[in-house]
Amino acid sequence: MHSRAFTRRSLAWAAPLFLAGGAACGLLDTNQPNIVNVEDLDSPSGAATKRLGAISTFTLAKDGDFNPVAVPGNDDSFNDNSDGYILTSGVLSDELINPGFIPSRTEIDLRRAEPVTAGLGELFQSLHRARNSAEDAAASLQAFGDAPDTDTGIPEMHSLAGFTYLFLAEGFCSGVPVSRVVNDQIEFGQPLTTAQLLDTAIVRFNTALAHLSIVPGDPIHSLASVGLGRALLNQGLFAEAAAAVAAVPADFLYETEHANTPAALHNGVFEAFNDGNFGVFDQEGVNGLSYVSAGDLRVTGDSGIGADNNTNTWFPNKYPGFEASIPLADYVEAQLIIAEGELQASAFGAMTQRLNDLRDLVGLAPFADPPDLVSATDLLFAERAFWLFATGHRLGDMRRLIRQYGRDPETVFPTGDHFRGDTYGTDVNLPLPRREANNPNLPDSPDGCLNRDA
Amino acid sequence: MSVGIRLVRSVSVLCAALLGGASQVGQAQQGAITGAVTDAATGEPLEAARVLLVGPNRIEGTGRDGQYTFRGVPPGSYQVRVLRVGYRPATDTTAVAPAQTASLNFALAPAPIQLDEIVTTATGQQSKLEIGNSISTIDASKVAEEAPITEFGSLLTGRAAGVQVLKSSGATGTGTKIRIRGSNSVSLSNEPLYYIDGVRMDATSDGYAYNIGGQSTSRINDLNPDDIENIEIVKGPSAATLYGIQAANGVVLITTRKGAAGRARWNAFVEQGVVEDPNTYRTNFFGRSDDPDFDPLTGDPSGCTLLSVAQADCVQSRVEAYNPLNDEVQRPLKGGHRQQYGVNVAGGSEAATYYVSAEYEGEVGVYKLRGLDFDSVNAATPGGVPAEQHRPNQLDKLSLRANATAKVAANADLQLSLGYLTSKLNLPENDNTLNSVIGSGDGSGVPQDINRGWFLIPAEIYSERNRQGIGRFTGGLTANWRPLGWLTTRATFGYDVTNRQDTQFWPTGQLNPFAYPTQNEGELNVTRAQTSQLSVDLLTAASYQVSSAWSGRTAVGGQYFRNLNTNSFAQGRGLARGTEAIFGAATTDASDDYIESRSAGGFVDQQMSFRNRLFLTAGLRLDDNSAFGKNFDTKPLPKLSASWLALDDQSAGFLNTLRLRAAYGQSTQQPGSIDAQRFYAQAAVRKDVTSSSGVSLANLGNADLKPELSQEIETGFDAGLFNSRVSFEATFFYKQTRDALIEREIVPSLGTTSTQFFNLGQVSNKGIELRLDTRIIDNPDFAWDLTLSGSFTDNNLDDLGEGVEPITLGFIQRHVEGFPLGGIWDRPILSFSDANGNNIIEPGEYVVGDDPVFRGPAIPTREFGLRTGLSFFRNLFSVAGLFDYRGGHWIENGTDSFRCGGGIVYCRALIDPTAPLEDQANASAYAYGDPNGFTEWGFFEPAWFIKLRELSFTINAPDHIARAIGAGRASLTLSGRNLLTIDDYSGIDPEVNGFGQGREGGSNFAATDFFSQPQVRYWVARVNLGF
Repeated sequence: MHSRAFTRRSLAWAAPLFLAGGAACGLLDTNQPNIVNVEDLDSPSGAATKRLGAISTFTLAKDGDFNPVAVPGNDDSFNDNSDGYILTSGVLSDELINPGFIPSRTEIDLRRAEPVTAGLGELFQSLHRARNSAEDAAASLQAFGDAPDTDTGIPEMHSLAGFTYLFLAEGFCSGVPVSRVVNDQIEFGQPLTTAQLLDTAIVRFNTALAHLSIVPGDPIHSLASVGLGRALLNQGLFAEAAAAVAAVPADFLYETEHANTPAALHNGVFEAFNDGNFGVFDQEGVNGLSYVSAGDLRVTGDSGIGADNNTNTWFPNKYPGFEASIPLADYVEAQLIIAEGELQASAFGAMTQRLNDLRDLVGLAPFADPPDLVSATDLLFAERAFWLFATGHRLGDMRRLIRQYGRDPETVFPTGDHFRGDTYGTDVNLPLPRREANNPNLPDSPDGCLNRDA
Repeated sequence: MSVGIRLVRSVSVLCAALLGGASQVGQAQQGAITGAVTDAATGEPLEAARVLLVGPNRIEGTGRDGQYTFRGVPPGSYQVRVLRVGYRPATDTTAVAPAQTASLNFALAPAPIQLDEIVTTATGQQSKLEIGNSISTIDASKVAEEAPITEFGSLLTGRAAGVQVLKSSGATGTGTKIRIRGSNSVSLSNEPLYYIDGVRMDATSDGYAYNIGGQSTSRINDLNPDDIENIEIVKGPSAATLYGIQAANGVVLITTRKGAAGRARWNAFVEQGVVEDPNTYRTNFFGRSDDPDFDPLTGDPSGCTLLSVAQADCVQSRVEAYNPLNDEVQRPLKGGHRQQYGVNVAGGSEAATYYVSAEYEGEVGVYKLRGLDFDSVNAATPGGVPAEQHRPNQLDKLSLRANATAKVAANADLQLSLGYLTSKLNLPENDNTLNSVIGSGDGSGVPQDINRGWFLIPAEIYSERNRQGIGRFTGGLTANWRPLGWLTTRATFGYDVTNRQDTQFWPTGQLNPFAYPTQNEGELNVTRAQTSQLSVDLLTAASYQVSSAWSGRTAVGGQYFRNLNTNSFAQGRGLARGTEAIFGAATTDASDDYIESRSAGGFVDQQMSFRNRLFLTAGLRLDDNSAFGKNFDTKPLPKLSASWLALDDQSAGFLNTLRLRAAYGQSTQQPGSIDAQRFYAQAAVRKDVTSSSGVSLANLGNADLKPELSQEIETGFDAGLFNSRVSFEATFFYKQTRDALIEREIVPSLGTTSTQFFNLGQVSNKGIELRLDTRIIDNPDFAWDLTLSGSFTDNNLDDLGEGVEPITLGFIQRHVEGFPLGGIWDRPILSFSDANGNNIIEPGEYVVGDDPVFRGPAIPTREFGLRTGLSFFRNLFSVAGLFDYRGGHWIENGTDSFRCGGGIVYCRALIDPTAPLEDQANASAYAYGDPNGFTEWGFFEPAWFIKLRELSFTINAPDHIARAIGAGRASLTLSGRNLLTIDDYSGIDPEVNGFGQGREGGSNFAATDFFSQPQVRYWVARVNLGF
């Protein structure tokens, strides 16, 4: 009897301890099938998967990111839910307006963006995420790839990284930092001037061009060449820019691609027009180009009412559906870069001929030679605006008109009364988002910038 | 075989072995004690009294007939103590002879409260006297029968000091936030844990997959209030230590009804009622002008505003005032209907008891398609207006419960608790959206001659179908074994699984193509989610006498918990007209998710008592969890408690009893399941005309991540006064949360994710809880009870961590060191004056401060409930009322700020020349701002309110009348809910939250009225019959 009581007592006390000790027996091991551990990607296939991920993040950063994908195990969005560079830079320029309700888009349209303006942080992070992903993928392909010397994915990743520096330089004020994780620690970036950012872009493009896997004429070589040309153009190195793109073949086109399904692959620019959240005004703010009234077949669209159910506007149909691709770089842009070199050399006739050759490709009537630099400049930049409409080029061009061609900002950017009842401000670029103020290296300025000049 | 199944089998084998052993030790010589517990005043049997067999420390409950029985009692002399809420305890002694049954009856005298009420703790059922904490108890079975309880959350409202029930909206089926003793966490959930019959249950407070404005559902409202016997609220870490990880926010312990030995007793009820929105909505103003450029119909959508008048741009020809929500012809809000039917039966034998119930609840909310909207849809739709479009807010719920207890041996029993629920909810898009009827009326911005004054017309809004279907099973099996007279063991295995289907459907061609360009092509979203919670709880406790004065109780416990959430989402866009299917849609999309966390832990708890007047307890708990960072080593959590019955003299005139108590304890809150890990996740990509998948960094992780640690000290006293007709309870608490998880912003230039969790912060809550219970008049023909309970709570963010800037939530709420979490901040309006004397406040005529300043807390800092009950003629007729007060907090009147500054101006302050100048200044500063931007300062308002929350009239039929209709008892209750509101709020109802009851981050604290549905009024008649 005594031993039975002892047994019962022992069992009773042991039962709770059974669970208490369970932690040591794997009771707490969980299976999380929807995440990929960092170390699992250190392989050829892992590196290749990172490349695809980098293309995905680059596409979202440029073309818009309206369909958030949830982070596994979390309510947060996996992506940045950003308007993307094309739409945000477009709404600050004369390309686009905001006929929707979201006030932050109006603040940008008004040229009155502030660090706290909603959406700025998302765009800024999205571009940096694309940069980081591309640089990470390039390093992984180099380190873990089966045959890195023949892998065109490596120069492709360097090129995409270069474009992210370009977008940051063209869209944001001077003083953009580039931060990194080094040995699990955050290394805050120093603010880079616009010229320094462009220099970094040039390094990325040159690294791509130097890669053994590509030769002139190859698509990725052309991609890096156009990127390099665009960066050099921004640096005011017009002849070098023209030289950089001279070998780009006529059939070259590198696009970011989209699909109907899943929603994360939607063309965000089309989606924004289709939802009535972005539209076009003819001659926005006095100085805007005549995108609507020109009746140009490169910029076509339909009238309609915006998402606010009130604003009469015009919705471009350049991208006909969710699945439409968006050019990143192509032969036309290469030719426009060369034409600008000719403009700078005062070779107006050559420039006009080059522009007319491009127009002839789509059946547009040719121009006569412009009589002077001003009209030649107007002509070239208008042609760039129509050819490159809704591709994320116009804001950089408008800034160059101020920076490189001496135009008064108030003759380039929309000005006067805004259709929402306010008046346009003075922005010619975007401030750094408030969240970047956590970077201790930022200067003590209200917008985190070194300066807001064009 | 899964870990869970292996575990259940292992423990089952263990229990079988234990019970097998037990069955052999049944002793034929043992006897029993049985008896009845009645009301001394009326002689009526008392259900749910706790009967304590002192010594063996066994507890039985009484059934509806007031009967109790202790079986397997060894021969000897025993003290039996009976306790019941609302009655004075009674103790008597009896002797048990071998194989004999001793009879012992009790007649209890009413008393507001008693000190040694039995409560459920982690170490088993204990007398409240032994515990150094304040625990609130709600007699749910009585409340549900006599008060207008429309959901579980309303059972708690105004009934427990320190417990705030924050209902987000008046729409049927929408959810509730619960806060106990303030908010502990900046980033994690501040909701308490819930246990039902010892089984941990899912209480997700934000349970709908789609964004349909601000509203969502709460899983606690799946509970059927009529099945609940009582609710005990363990308020903070000082009491919750032994409940382990995630108990830092308090624990709500729910006990469902049980059967009692005796014949089958049937109860049935029928409830019918109305649901109303009696509110008058705000008036929209429009400045009309003969100048077509300044007429909202033909020119500027804001029309001729006061600013335009001041600037001589236009002349107002008239001011129009209209809101279609207030137009009886158009108003798409009309009385809804509530109905409930329930039946239960309880009974059993000495060997086994049962309780079985079934209940149907149906509620049709206040939204209704009417007038021209109804006619147009009716004409356009073959078969007439679809029911979901006609009445887009409906709830149908069927609850089933089966509880059973079986005595498998003289010293062992099994308790089975099974609950099943199936429900279907329809919700319109509502709150925090223009695309709702309130948003489209209050937020229309157009006069009556445009779109009938709506932004979107109700027919379009109600064509969107949002549904939630729930199938939920909660089951628990508890085995109690008393292998020796002084040794008790308990094992509870629980499983709570909820299958949820959320559907969002936009029928093709029935929506406004501008507001829904994509959805108007037809869109169907379906999310199927399953949440399962497996819990195992083992306990062994020994009671012993150390000396003649000192006795002891030692408890050892272990718990295991696994939470698994899975969901899959599918979408079809571009649907053929008339179809509602994803298959064949023009485009489809899909995603899924899987979230799992596991924890295991154990505790040791030692209690010593001195002459049953002084009780000292010390405990230690150790936990581990799958969510902790790999660098974190778990640490033990201590608890200490002391309770001293300083005075117990029922004969004294003024002070009869006095208990002093104090407690200290720690508890934790775990991070998100994979917050600690750095990982990539799949990302779709299109390349070379082929869709494939890449990976992208999805979480930066933090290997040092550990749980938030909350520690609390509370002290207080309980006093019985005036021959125990008055009881007074006061508790002071100070709670501090260290290592608070701060979702620190990552600089976007890093190019990773937006935030990363660090254990950086410190939050404190301190306050006082008070409770006064009185039996003012105690006469069989007239009795009057009054209870006042409430609390003052001061929440403070002590520390955000080095280098962490104040965290901004949305636009106007912030976490700032030295201020309450989620406080409301903006740049203040310092002064204004009509400098040019034109009776219009223009930009430049107000001065706004440069920096944001604190306006007020977002969560109430004071709450009180005043309950009173009158009963007449031996309770033949009774009246009860509950006033509910909240205060000390502020709310953003987002509806009005939107109307003044949302792009189109149509608020009175900016249109009507007779508007007060202060209103004009507030509106102008938001609409037009100053060179530094805009401020919403003038739209933050004190959110205090007093509501006549409940009022009920009950007639209990005399016995002969009840018998005449074939019943043993019968009652009729007429009750109302949300009958009167007193406040200073310029909006409609300060008791709303346009952002719902989001679990984590910003919406933890959101305090915004933004096109929110005010709380609705209920009038309900209920007939209860007992057989």
